[in-house]
Amino acid sequence: MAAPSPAPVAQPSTPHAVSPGSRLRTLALRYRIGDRTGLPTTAAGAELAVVIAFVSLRIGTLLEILPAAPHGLRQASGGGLDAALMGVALVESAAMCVLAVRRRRYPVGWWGCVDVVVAMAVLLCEPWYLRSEDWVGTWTAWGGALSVNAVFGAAIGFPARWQTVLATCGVSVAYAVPSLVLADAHASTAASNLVGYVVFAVSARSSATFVRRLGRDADHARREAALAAGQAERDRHRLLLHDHATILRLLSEPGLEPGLVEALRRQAAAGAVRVRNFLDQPDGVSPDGPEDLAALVRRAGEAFSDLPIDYAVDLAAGVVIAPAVAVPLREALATVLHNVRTHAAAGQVVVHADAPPGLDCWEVSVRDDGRGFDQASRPLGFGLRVQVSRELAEIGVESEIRSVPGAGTVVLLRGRLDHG
Amino acid sequence: MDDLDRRIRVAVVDDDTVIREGLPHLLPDLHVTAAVSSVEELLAAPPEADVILLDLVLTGTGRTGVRQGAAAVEAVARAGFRTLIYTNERRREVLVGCVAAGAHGVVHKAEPLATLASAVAEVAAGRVVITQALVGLAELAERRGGLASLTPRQREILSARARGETFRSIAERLFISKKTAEEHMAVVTAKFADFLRDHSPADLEWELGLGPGDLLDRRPMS
Repeated sequence: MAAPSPAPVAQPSTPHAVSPGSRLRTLALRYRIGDRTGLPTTAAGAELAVVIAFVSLRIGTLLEILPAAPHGLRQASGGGLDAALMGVALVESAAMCVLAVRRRRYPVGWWGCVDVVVAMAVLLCEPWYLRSEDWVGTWTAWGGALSVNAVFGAAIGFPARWQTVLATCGVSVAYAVPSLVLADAHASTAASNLVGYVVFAVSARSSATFVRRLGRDADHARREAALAAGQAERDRHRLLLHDHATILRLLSEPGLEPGLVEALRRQAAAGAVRVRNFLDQPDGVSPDGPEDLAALVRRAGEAFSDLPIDYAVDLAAGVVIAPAVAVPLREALATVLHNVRTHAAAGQVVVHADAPPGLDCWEVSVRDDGRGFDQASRPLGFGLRVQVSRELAEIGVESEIRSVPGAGTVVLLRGRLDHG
Repeated sequence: MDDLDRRIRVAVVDDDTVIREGLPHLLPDLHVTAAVSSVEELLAAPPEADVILLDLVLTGTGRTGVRQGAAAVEAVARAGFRTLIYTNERRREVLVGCVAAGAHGVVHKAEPLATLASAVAEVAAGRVVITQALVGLAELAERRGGLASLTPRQREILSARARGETFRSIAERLFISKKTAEEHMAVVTAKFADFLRDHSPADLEWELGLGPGDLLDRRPMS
């Protein structure tokens, strides 16, 4: 027996592996980037991604501040004030991170305001105790980095746009005032940094908004898919039970002719097999399970409602397609219809599915009356050659493509019936 | 007899003014003897017509209390007219209901004018014209034993038509003339129309092995 593999743990030697708390570590392990599971693609997952961005950026900023802190404390005229501000910023940042991780969203309300106010206070105080050469462009003046971080938090976390604008303006003013008041300020560099606040706020807010919208849309799509699947399952049940209800009703009637009774018995026996097969399917119709050929063909065409498609697939109802065949078949049909859409300019498309009696196979044909092409002079494109012919051949499905210039194209797919 | 008299006489029942006013100009080979917006108007003063071109939805202008759908088809058929449905409706349960109610054909408004003219001629000649969706249903009826009187050749042509094959292609493949293939199919459609008229909605669903509501439980517009 193979030895058990070690449980994944955070590596302390990794430069960026920071562990501010057990909850964050748990989240980090659970949603590692590159992990097969990753963050869930839901609205909650999107919010969590925003939180991770905020927390990691804040922790990273504090880690960048720390190496320069001793030098700053030595050089500053008001070392005590610098240390006090740094302490407040550390405690407040730690609280923000912990709250964000616990709530799995940016802590809005008073906490968000406090974050912005602390950053503003640091910006306003620093010029009065730092040397002018340290004030702009050094990590000794750590307020700049912290304020960018606060603007980022306000951009991704504040619910209303005007709140983000207000926070960004507040921080910008706090940064700009010393430049205007102090004679030896680096005014031009400070002006450039001011632009940075606006750019940071706009890009962070638009990115976070988009990520959240993706999450909401994904949730909505899942709900729609679940409803559609439920409806399809109910329709499938109705189709299955309808015939058998009629057989049972007829059998229950007294005085039936012997010939009719015999016919009904045969149908009842066949119906029992159908019900048995239905019950043996553990999860009903699902993208990963066996599929009814008629339903599969219709599903493959759902995305092509712009095409004038006439379906004749009732003869394939009840033909079960194994999962290994169903997925490539559906993709191949989609490829064929995509080709029709792109190249055929068809006035009519007929999609036909059948399991001809006496033959141990099913057939699907897609025929259009479009412009067609000369097969002798024009080789098949990648879609028909690889995605249809080659992929289907690998799973034992024959394909045949016939086309005549001006007379349309027909694609025939034929596979063996699955009796399993 | 002049040219006008030799043309097929058509009465148009459509709530769309453009259709009523435009068809005589678009199809000059047809003699439009009446163009009205409701079946009630048509039956109040029955025109001389070989074919009634009938829209299925006649309440587009917001009118109420007029017959439409299968009820309109039934009323026109009872008055002794041959009816060709001219519609955008593609749901086969609706189309089947109209053929069962007595329509002799269905043509979609999206079809080319030549197809409409051809369908009018077919219906005027006593034949039945059905859409591709109904051809598929005819094949299903044949396979389930509902069209037992078809010959092997007719079954072969029905099967090909259900797959969308053109008459020209069928003729070349079977070494027969295009006209022969069309005549075989005309027999098939006539028998299928009779099959639809002779069966109740429940019988049809049972005969065709379809689920309840797939065809006629949801009655067409009336």
